[in-house]
Amino acid sequence: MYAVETIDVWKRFATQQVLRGFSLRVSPGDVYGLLGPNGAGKSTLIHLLLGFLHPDKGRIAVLGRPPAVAQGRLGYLPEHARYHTHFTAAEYLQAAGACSGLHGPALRDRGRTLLALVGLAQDADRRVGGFSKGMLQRLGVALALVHEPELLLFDEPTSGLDPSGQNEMSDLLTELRSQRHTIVLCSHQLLEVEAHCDRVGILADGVLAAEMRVSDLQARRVTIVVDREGLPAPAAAGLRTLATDVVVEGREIRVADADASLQQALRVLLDAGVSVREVRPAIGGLAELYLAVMQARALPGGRLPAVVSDCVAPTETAGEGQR
Amino acid sequence: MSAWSRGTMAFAGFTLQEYLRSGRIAVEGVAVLAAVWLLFWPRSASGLDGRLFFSLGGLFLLALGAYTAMAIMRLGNRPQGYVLLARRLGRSGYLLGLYLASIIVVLATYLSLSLVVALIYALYRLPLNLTLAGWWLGTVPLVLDMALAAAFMTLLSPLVMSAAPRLTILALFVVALSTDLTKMAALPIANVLGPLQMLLGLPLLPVMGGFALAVQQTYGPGALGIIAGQVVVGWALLTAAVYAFERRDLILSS
Repeated sequence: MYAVETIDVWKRFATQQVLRGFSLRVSPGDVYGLLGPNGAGKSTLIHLLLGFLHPDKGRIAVLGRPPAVAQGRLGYLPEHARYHTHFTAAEYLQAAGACSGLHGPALRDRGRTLLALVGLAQDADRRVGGFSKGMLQRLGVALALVHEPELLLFDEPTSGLDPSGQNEMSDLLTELRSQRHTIVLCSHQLLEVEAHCDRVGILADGVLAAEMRVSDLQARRVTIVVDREGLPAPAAAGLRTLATDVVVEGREIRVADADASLQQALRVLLDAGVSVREVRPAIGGLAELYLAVMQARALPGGRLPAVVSDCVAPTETAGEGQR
Repeated sequence: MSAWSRGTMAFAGFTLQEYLRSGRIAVEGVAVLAAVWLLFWPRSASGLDGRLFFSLGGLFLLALGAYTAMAIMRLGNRPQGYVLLARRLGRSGYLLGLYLASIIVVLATYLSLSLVVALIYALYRLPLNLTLAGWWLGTVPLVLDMALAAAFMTLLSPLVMSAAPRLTILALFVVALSTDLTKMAALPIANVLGPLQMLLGLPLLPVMGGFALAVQQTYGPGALGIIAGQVVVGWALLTAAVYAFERRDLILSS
């Protein structure tokens, strides 16, 4: 059973087709980062998973059930921190827990524990109306966690936060990840996603345009730039014998960034008399990858550059709409 | 009590607290004082007539109840609602919690009005021509009518339905209430309007009957039928509201 499974989901608002056959699978225990430009449909997807919206077409299962049934097992942090301002943080947590059917001393203890976790223990008796944006976001995390949900849906958790607020939220995400929570994290903050997520998907034009494991990105390849196109036969044959995948494209040779394979490739090239001009990372990180994917989407028939497609996994979740 | 019921009650309590703390309740408070001054202030020595209390007070409370239900539904139609909706409470609990909160405010308003009027007449040592038993007999159908009005406003709130079905229901309501439409319309239209009006007017019968029962405070042979009719119509309106709310795309107003 997947924590989240959407299959060929379509959603339209008035004249705007937001999702066009979007398919996604998130495994239990994963932290999944969903990237995409403004208006790509990330918040729409979160609202579909929460059952606030109904898909026009396609199937959605959250924790193996329809969203409306799974609702009580989800924790939601909305993008815009809008909360009921006439309550104190402690009262708010109590009320949110009570709305989930919790009650008694266990709820009070849980409230206190969560306020301590998000660093609001000192402000428990302050009215939410007087909170800064960072404090509201942290309260939002506590509200999302109060009923011990099995899946967390975080929509732009660092949106509008100052750097220290972003750091605090980042620490919270690290803590939640260490507790093995399943999280779907929508964000524009590429560094945040790269730091916290196991897998990343890029939502563009209503489909999952690309998906990758962050570990694949981190175990990135390097590009060796040589002085000529067309390698001499001994060099080409030598590279073919290496255990690691080697891709030769013009003057660029990409190999896995493991010490042994890089050194072996360099030795083969130098022994064959090929001059090495530069050795650099094949891809700079998630930011570069994201931009490359978005640029490729903008081109007619847009194919991903080979250097990018090396990192992008064939989406195991590719849906009908993407084929 | 199930977790869902507990959640619904808790949410109704939460909404009530917000209604009080945000000061919105002041509207009801001022309205009660204004009603006491304008409608029930003793200006002669004749005392309070029970029929007058329930007819004028009933109309005032029905209007105020409709306002309160609208105000509380507006309270629920804000993005703040998302964090509470994403819980075991669900949509039906959310809507019923809002409805329950509005009913509690309406009831509190009615009790305040009754108490203030009784106190004033006691203070002026004027006769209160309404026994406690008469008050109870008038209160039951009046409160049911108020609950019904609140259910109707819940159904018609933008939180529950989009503009087109709301306008359609309002148009049908106007047709049901109009008495001269069949006389004014051309014959072929009148042939359609007549039966339509009769059909649409059926749910209004318990409402009107309930109001008359409250004013008279005398329960004849059909009284229990009227009260049962009020309960059925109120239940049907609420069920329709929950059904519509469950099925719509939820985009809370910002």
